[in-house]
Amino acid sequence: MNFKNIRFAVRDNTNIYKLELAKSLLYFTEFDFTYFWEQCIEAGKTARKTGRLPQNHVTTAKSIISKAHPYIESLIASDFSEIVTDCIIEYICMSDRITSDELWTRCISSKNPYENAIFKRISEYKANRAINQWNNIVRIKEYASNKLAFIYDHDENGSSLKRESIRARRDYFDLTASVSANELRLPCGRLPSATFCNAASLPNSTFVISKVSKAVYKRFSDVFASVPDESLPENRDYTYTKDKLAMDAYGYVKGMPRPTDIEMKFALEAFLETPEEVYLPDSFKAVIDLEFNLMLKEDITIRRCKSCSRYFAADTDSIYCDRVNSSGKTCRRLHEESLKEITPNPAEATLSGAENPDSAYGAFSQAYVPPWRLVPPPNKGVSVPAEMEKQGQKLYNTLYKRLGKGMSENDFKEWSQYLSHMKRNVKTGDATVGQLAEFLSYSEELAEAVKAAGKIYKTAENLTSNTSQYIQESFDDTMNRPVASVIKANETHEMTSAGIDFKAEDFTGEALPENTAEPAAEKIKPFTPESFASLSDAMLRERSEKDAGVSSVPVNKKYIEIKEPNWKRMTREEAYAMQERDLNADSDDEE
Amino acid sequence: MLFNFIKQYTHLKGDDVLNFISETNAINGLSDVIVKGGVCLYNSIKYIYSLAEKDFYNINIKDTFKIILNNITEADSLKALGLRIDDYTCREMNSPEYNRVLPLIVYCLAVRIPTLKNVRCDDKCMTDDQIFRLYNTVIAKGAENYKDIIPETFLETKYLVRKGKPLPPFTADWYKVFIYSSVPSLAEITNKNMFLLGFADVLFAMFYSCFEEELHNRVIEYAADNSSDTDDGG
Repeated sequence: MNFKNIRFAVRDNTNIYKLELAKSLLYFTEFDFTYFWEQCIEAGKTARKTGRLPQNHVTTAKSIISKAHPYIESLIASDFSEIVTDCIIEYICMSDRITSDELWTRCISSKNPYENAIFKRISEYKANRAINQWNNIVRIKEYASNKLAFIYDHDENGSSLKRESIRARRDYFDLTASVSANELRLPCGRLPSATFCNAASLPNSTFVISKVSKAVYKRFSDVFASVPDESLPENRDYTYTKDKLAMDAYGYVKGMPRPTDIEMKFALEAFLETPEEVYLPDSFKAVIDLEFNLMLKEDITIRRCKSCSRYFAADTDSIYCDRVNSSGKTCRRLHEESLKEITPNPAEATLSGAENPDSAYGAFSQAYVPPWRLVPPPNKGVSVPAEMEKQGQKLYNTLYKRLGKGMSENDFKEWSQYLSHMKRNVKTGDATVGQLAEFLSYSEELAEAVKAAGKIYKTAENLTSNTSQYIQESFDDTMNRPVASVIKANETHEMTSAGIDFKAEDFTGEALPENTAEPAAEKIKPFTPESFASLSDAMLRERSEKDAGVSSVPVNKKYIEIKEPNWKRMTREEAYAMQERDLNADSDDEE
Repeated sequence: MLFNFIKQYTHLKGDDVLNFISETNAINGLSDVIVKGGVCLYNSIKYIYSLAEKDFYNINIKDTFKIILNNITEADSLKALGLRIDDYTCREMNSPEYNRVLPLIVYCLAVRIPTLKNVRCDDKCMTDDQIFRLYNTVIAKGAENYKDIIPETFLETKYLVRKGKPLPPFTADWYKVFIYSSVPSLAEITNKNMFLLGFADVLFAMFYSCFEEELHNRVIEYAADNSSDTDDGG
């Protein structure tokens, strides 16, 4: 889909930035801040030791977060310049369970530049010259996600949304926020807003279109030379005197004749370089609201993909997105393929001309209700149980502590991403709690293996020179091998400690002693989530599990042999009759 | 010679005399603390005055007090709150007359030096001679009672301390008198000037309380250096 672009400008900056409607919003709501957070924590830990923030971590973290949204990118050198310090402050307050006020008091008599940076930043919060931007981004992301869901989530019946109902939802959402602000007695006139103007009317247009501005100044230099200095304090309220100020300024140039053609041509060239319409949002929330408003204006519809449950900008009636998923295909493509599998051969089908679809599945679905439509939709997501959250966090901490001592950074990143995706999938209903439990138990084993690998490293240093050389070599090998091999090396080391002779090749994992309990490769097996060749397989599997009374949390998997379905085309009446039978059977069971 | 001998003899024999490893260093160090404290109070007044320029509703004055009182020899940490003392924000204070306030502040701290007699470290305290030398050092560094604005004197304080009588409270009364009599730009009735006269009362009292504690701690620190040195030396 081609996204419409708009241009926006920010204060204290003469650049004009591009914003892709819908795309930037969806990207922001799905942005993963984990890596940014990790970089900030790492920077904080280093700063605690050295007394100053490491610039490499700060630069990396800032470059990561600036990709989250064009607005953040536009202000990364001003409003968001201290985002890393903000994140560290948030982390310290969370981990020490103190308020930023208490942290500020701790840092008043700062001993090093790091403490001074924290003190200065919190002082800025106190003097209302800044807010914790990290906290702000997190809250804005939540706001955007909630607004997206409120406006664009489909009803229970799955009917497509009309423009009027989208507008009503948006207005209702905004009005609710306004009512809340009013009840809190907030100055509603000062809440975020975006103004719209041409580039020449921007507050800093003199510097944005500097070439023409210089020419204008040259033309009126005599007049400007006699202008008195009327600079006014910035903090004064000019709400009711704006017209007066503008007219006072215009008064000096009101007699201006149109410039010569050459001058106009020169100006034209400069103006053509600037966009015709520029938005001027005064805050991050204002940009988000602006996007929602313009999406509605431009008739850009957002839908939730029926396959991956993520939002996408829809240009057709499709309810499947064009994102490439883990299978390497887009959700829409997968859906089309699954349709082809269950659709009878067109040659055999005796569809009349009116029923025969041309190309769109939308028309096809109206004429012919395929059996898969009668299968109940996938389970709705459930929240991750608290104990699993806790277990996941514990594992995260365990593995994080052993970074570089048994687990490489890339492995850890991959693992943590898998964990967060798994949790998200459980929430969206794409994975079951059982699958998450399975992954966590696998991770427990992984953590044990990593711990063991760490021990080897420690013990290797204490052994005699000959032995330590062997073990060190083996450890170096181990660090480059999969986790399973690490277990082997660990077991061999344990035997060494018990007085069993060993050879150098033992550490390579090639020749294990006979009394080894079990091959290490069997001890840890890589986690592989269940996969199905097609949608029908998945549905059949689920049904057969239900029929067999198997709980959703599989303990010992029994793979049920599923025969290839022999689809027969049925009429609409037959299909509804079948659905009714199923419903009746369900209600009988409940009774 | 005789004086030095007696002094040395007194140090050796006197059980209740507070000795410093280097008396000159100690007195210089303590006089520095007093002068820096005076400068800090002088700058703090300017910083808080600048708050009324445009940050009256942005900055909590309690935060400024916290910063000042946490480090009573350095007021520049107030810059973190966005406060600036420049020719514009403190334009009413840009006069040679107002510049007399700094020596006056240091003087009003100096006349209270005799209170150090009450500082005891292992039941030892500073001698009158040490206290007088400290006072003279501070005066030599620029403290001055311009137009005798400050009614307190060194001798009066010394007398009150010796008699164990309470000292008059440390107030900003002399500061206000000086402003009304010598700095017309600050004596004018404006929002900023009324704010200045209001916070000065609180600031002077709170500042002196913390300053006194800091000065006492420094005396003990200098004395402790000496005692630890004596212990090490056997």
